[in-house]
Amino acid sequence: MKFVTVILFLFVNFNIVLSQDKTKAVSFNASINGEKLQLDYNYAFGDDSISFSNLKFYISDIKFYRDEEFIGSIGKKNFLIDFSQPLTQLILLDSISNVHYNRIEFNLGTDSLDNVSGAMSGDLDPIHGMYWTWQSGYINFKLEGSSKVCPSRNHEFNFHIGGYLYPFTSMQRLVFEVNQSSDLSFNLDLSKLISIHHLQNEYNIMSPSEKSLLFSKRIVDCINLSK
Amino acid sequence: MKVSLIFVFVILIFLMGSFCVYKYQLDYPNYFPAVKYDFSRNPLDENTIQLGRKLFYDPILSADQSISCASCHSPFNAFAHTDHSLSHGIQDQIGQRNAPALFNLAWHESFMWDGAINHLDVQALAPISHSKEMASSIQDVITRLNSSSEYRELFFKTYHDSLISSERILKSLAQFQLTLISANSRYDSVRQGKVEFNLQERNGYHLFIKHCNSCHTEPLFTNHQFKSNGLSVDTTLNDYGRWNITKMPSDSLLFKVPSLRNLSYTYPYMHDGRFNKISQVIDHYSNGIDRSVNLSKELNNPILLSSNEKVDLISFLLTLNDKAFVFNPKHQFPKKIN
Ligand code: HEC
Ligand code: HEC
Repeated sequence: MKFVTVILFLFVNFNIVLSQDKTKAVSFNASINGEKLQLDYNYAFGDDSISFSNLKFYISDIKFYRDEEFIGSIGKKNFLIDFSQPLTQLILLDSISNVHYNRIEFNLGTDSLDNVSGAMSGDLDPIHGMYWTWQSGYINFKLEGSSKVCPSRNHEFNFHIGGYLYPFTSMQRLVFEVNQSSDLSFNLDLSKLISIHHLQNEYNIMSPSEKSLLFSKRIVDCINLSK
Repeated sequence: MKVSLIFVFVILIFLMGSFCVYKYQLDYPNYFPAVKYDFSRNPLDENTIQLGRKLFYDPILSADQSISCASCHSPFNAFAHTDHSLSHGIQDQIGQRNAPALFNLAWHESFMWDGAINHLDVQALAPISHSKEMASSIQDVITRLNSSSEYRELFFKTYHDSLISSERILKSLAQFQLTLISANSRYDSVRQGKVEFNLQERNGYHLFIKHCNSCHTEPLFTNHQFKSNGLSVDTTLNDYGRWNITKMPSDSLLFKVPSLRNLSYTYPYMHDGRFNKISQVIDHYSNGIDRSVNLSKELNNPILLSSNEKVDLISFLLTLNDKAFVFNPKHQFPKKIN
């Protein structure tokens, strides 16, 4: 009996080793005009130019499924993806690497529980500039920059998208069918997000509202799984 | 076997002893409702409370180190601010609202006149960052505290390592504020059967229950809801209260119902400090209500008060003053802590 267990144990372990070349990380990138985003770089945009100084967003509650069956999640709940700190763009999947799944789900943003639980540390620490101070709640998605088309002071635009209260709940759930043989890399297409978004009319969204809710839905349409 | 049992017993006694020393018990009367603050996420502890108290009184939290929380929330005004109708911050800038009194915060479900803040822990981020209040940021506060050896020591003493983080700063400020409990007024003595109301106060109490208790619900004297008590809009401020947060028309001009404890110390009254005297407030309720605004239904029926009844009502309201709270040395500027 003991012998069988040992064999089984070895077998299982061996299998894990064998399958360890499966997906190991989820990464988040952003592109503009088909190029990889570089912060503080001037991009030609039609007749005008645009530059981005800040891009940060929260990804939370990443879950993996095989068809309808829940397979696993990552120990950590919230990840702040900050494009000024490229290391944050990579989420390692230690606990998930060796299981089979064909669907990944995650939130763009933080959930309502984390928005009402007081002072937090780690990725939710307010020092990251992703907590509204004059009101409660996290900014789920922050995009800042400047473009001559904006009639604002210094031609700046500020999109601070968040809000956890109905009806302006801006957290969005994303679902992707995946092929688990490769790393998962997601891309946010800023040309799509900003071109549909007429900068000369709308350049400041800084509190939860109908506008921020629509913007949060548009972000979802601009995130794709890179092939 | 016996020896090990005795050993376990000794350990247990020791553990219980240490709990008695370190666990801080909030003291409030049994007729108070259950607290709303989740103490399990931030258990009270004497060292943390004292650290929070020091931070509360320390202008190190403001950009030019001139303004502390106590600049606007003075202990002798039940932690409100009485010099100005609107709060007065860094470089003499005037804010948008009257600084509210701070007490019985463990029972609040939301903070600020419009409920913009949902948790006491994160409230301090608002004044620290506000350009007209302390004009700083939590990052800068951490930097300033880190450069003070006194604070590094205090954080070490409290948390057993000297890391100064926003979570620790915010939670210790919250702890100090949670200990600000007002439950020692004459009204409380009556509730506890120690004294009795005089005739005037008793008449006033009955008028209060009839006209005011639906919103200013005893024993905390607020139901913590957002209501309109029929104040017309101040067109120099255009403050629409709760609407600012929810953008729902039905929330226009609703403000959080304030407690009526300690009124003698907390004037001026209302979110914009428009009334200086309690008698003006009573006149507002008896004949100043603006019925064209989004008035809450509790005030649908006019409040008819004779001048005697007004006096009675005021004499009841004065029984809510809690001198023991206002002059409690444990809440005042910390002379020295260690
Ligand atoms: C410049 C004056 C000023 C300073 C400095 C200030 N406050 Fe306030 N405080 C106010 C005003 C005004 C309000 C009401 C704000 C509103 O309703 O928008 C307020 C509200 C509050 C509330 C909410 C109370 C309630 O009943 O909802 C708390 C708690 C509080 N302050 C704590 C603090 C702490 C802690 C500090 C220091 C970190 C501080 N305040 C610094 C003016 C100030
Ligand atoms: C509909 C609910 C409601 C009723 C009923 C009501 N109030 Fe108020 N009261 C409020 C609200 C809301 C405020 C804050 C309004 C603001 O600042 O805009 C307030 C403010 C006050 C204040 C100012 C407190 C401070 O610290 O600024 C006093 C005093 C007061 N009420 C007394 C009374 C009395 C006395 C009665 C009964 C005659 C009464 N209220 C009935 C809702 C109510």
